Amino acid sequence: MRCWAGPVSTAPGPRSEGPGRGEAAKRKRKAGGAPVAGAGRAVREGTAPLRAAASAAGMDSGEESFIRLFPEEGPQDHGSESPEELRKEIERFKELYRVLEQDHAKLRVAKEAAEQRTQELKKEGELHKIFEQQLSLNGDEERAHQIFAIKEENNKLRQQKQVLKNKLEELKKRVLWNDPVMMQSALPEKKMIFKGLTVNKENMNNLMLTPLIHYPLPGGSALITFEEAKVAQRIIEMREHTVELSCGELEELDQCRVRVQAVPMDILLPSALEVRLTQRSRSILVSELPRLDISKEALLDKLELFFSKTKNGGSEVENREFLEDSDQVVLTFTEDGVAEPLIERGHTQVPIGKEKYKIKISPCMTGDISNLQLQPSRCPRTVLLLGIPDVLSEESMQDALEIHFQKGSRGGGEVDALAYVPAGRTGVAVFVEDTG
Amino acid sequence: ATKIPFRLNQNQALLTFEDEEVAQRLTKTNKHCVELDNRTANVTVKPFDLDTGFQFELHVTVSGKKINVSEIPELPIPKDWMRDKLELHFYKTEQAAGGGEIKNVTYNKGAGTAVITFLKPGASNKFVGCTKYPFCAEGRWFNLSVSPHFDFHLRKFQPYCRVSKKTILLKGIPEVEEDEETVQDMIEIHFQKPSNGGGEIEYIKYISRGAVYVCFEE
Repeated sequence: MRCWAGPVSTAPGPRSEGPGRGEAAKRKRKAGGAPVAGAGRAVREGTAPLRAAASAAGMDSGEESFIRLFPEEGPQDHGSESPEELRKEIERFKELYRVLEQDHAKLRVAKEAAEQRTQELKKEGELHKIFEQQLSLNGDEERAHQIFAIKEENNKLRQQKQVLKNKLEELKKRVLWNDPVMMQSALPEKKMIFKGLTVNKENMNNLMLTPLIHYPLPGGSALITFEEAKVAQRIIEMREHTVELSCGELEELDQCRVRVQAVPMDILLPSALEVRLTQRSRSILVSELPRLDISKEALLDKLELFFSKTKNGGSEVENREFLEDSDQVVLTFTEDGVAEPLIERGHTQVPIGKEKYKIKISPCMTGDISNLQLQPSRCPRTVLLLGIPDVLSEESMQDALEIHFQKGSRGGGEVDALAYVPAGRTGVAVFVEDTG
Repeated sequence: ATKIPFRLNQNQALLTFEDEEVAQRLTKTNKHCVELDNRTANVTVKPFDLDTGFQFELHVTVSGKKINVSEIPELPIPKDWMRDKLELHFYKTEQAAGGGEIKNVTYNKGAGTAVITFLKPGASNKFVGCTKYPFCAEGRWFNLSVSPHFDFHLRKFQPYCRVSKKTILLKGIPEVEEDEETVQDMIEIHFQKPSNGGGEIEYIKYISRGAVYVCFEE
């Protein structure tokens, strides 16, 4: 227990007043007003036969709190005493009783005061304990401050870390679409297998072409495709051909002939190009579309309607189409600045019928083609015939040509296809890949 | 059909399984212990990494009346006269391999290029396959470059990821004394057994030396 300077309540002890009658009661009691340290003190006992002990708390020791009675005043039996003396004695005893009663009362008050004091001291004792604990912490207070400061800093750093993490995620997303390698996970897949085929690398063309050529034919020309390439070659080498025309009613002597020129068919095809992957600034790629019972066209209509409204973040749609062989749709807006915020959103809810469906919006990539080179490619089996005069009906001329060029004697051979465009008209021939 | 070349190096083998699941399962187990000859060999199964491919529609329009001329020499004669000389060279069909009557010539002296527009549609066809055209000026002969005049645009551009689900690549097959075919057979036998996690094999190719290019098809 240590000393402390704090508000301490003290209970004033009862003050005793003057003595009783005679020398009978002699009491000395002093009120304790000074601060008391520690627990109570023992009461000093007087030497009188009658003692009254008072609670030490709040009482200053050194005081004798007892009633001294004259020793010789104890009840004695004198025997024959006069009524006067008896009356005196009764009075004396009454007095004594009164004094004792007073004392008793005072003692009781003192006792209660002392009890109260004890209570208060108990409370103080507890406070003291708490205070003690606080004191024991005081030495760590600085450490506590430090810990608190460190915790604060930790929180701040954690927040910063979260912000940076978010930024990183965003950048990753952007990198994902700028870096073709990282794009792989987001792309539709094409399954490939090894079928035992070995090739010569030099013969491999990195550009796999499926050509579809529309070639305008001038009037007075024809295209003829032979079954065999060597026949076509021979026809080309012969250059000029005299085609007999069967005029039907005319005699043999009046048979007509026309001269036609055979030239090779050279078609320009892309031979090399450079592709750079770029993002289409006005387009979005819509995926994760729901599988519904409506036609693809109807779904496209729904999507266009949704994305045409500014309240949905869209604007006028220039073009919409399904990507080849996939469940993804490309929507192109007429204005700039519409696609980007939609892509940032990443997802949106589209109402179709009574339901709302969550769909994914991602950037739309395209290739920036540059350095496109065309090279002529010679058709192996097709020959172009030129200079055909318009002397027969279209059908008749076509027949005449076919008959002529099928004859081996004329250098011809089996004909796969023939098309004739009479002079004065134009036609368009469609060339496809020769798989034969 | 798309054919992608793939280089198979020595001590490697390609196996195509009938069942995709078998191939995928084998890829998950990295190392396999194969019995070759009287030895056992540890071969590794590598997951497949084919590259990113693109698919697109290239719409090219080749002009039937125009051609591009380039490598026109810079001569100390007025621009207009040079333009006239170009027209004179390119219109002749009898005396030169020209394109017939010319409608217009646009000449860029600084770049040494020109665009010649013929009158007759299809005239540019005469220049298909022709890359050089003779030009005479100031007593000297030059060879001008000729190329088709065309426009193009892309449609339906789609990148995709080429994956191989049924074919696996084996690496680290040790060299043994047996010939290539026998080793290939042994590998095939091993990976056909379900007890080894294998299954029916459709195609197999193993090489012990050198490198070969194989084709991956769709």
